[in-house]
Amino acid sequence: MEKENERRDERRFLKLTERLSLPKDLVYGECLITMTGNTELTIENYRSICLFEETCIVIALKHDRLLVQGSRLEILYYREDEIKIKGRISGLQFLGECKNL
Amino acid sequence: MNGLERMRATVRIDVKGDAKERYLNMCRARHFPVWDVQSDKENDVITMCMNREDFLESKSAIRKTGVKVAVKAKNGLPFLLKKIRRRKVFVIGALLGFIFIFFMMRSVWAFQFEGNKRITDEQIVDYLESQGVTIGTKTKELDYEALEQGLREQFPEITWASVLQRGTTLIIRIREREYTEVSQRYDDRTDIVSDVEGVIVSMVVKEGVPYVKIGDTVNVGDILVCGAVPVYDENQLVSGYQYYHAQADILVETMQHYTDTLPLSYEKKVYTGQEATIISLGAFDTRFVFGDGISAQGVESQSKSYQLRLFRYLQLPFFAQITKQSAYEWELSYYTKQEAQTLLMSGLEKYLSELSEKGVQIIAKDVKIIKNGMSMEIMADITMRRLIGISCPTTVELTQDGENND
Repeated sequence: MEKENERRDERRFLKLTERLSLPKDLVYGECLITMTGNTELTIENYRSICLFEETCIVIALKHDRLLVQGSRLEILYYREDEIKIKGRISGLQFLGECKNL
Repeated sequence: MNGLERMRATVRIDVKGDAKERYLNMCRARHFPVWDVQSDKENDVITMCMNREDFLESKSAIRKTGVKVAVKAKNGLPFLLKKIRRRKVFVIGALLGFIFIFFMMRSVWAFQFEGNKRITDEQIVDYLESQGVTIGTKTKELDYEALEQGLREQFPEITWASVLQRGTTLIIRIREREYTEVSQRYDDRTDIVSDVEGVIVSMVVKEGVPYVKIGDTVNVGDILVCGAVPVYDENQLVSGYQYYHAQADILVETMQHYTDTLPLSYEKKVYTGQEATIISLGAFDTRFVFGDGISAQGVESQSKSYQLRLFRYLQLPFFAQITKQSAYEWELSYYTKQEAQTLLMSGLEKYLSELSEKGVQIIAKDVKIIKNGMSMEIMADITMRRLIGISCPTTVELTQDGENND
């Protein structure tokens, strides 16, 4: 019964945000990904770094994990709310939610 | 990273171990900014930069994650100051050097001339000195515009002048007027008059009435082409003249006599072997001379001057001059017949080459060298073909009674 109430509240909240056109990154904490060509990538609202190598970086997001593939990858800066990656980026892939994090 | 952030003490560290990413995340969780993070897969390390204070505070994170951290480089002003503290003399020297250069740059310590071909450097230096601009003049006393204008007025050949200062050097850039042979104009009413004697071999009249023809012998002052072109009326009488600037290419074959005399005795410079080197060192207006000069009647001197400079335009008032002196005496000597002939012939060849440069064709030359007492004389009859004619105002005019006065 409680679960049903929670789902109902969630649906109502979802409808309300859609009607008010509120940005989802603010409401749900979704990540914002900005790419400049294939050499720079900025991710906002991330949680942590799961893996960091020269050819691949795995970033934990709120509801997902993002795999950045490429070569000569490096982190230009790494702040609380934003991370900037530089290198030759060949692909981005969402790996699904990680339960351990 | 901006300039102010670069002043901060930062460290570049290598992080090694299984929990490198965890260490990164812990730094983030503690609000330690991290940048330039690179991964080295071969050595299994992550290299990154962070502030020194943050690095010191992150020791608990290092302990918790079990990573090994090595400081690779220390950057920023605090680390630099620490290094400098050990090298006080160097720093004081550098500071004094900067102060010295700053004071030096307030005066002119060298001149540099660009673009002068006919006007010599010495002429410009003399002019500058007359205007009170010498080595050591304060730059704030210089009036660049007045100097530029003065240069143009002093030397009419200068069409453009620029005076500017770079470092301690005063650069004077000038552009001289290109001389082109401008034919003399007489208000467009000119005849062509012969300036040499000879026989005409070719003649091309561009404007005017020819008074001579190919094969004619002309003398100095003869009118070759007249600039007054007659206008006839219906009775075939001259009713007037149209005046032009007569133009023609007239080639004559002419003979020119060349003579030159060479005395067989001459004074020859004989070096006695007595030599001396004088070194002169100077700073500002003071000179110190080392070494004694030769006291002989004839002394030949060769000097080389040097000026200390840090960069191309940063000349400093420290000078050095090395002068080499050689003593000599005049000795009476005589040319042999062969030497005299060679010298006279080379003089003639030089004269002929000068004529050739002017467009004169040498057809033949008859050369005689004779000994005349204590001298040798060369005489040559040179047959040549050359363009003749000079422009003179026309004298042909229509008189009152309708006849020309020529």
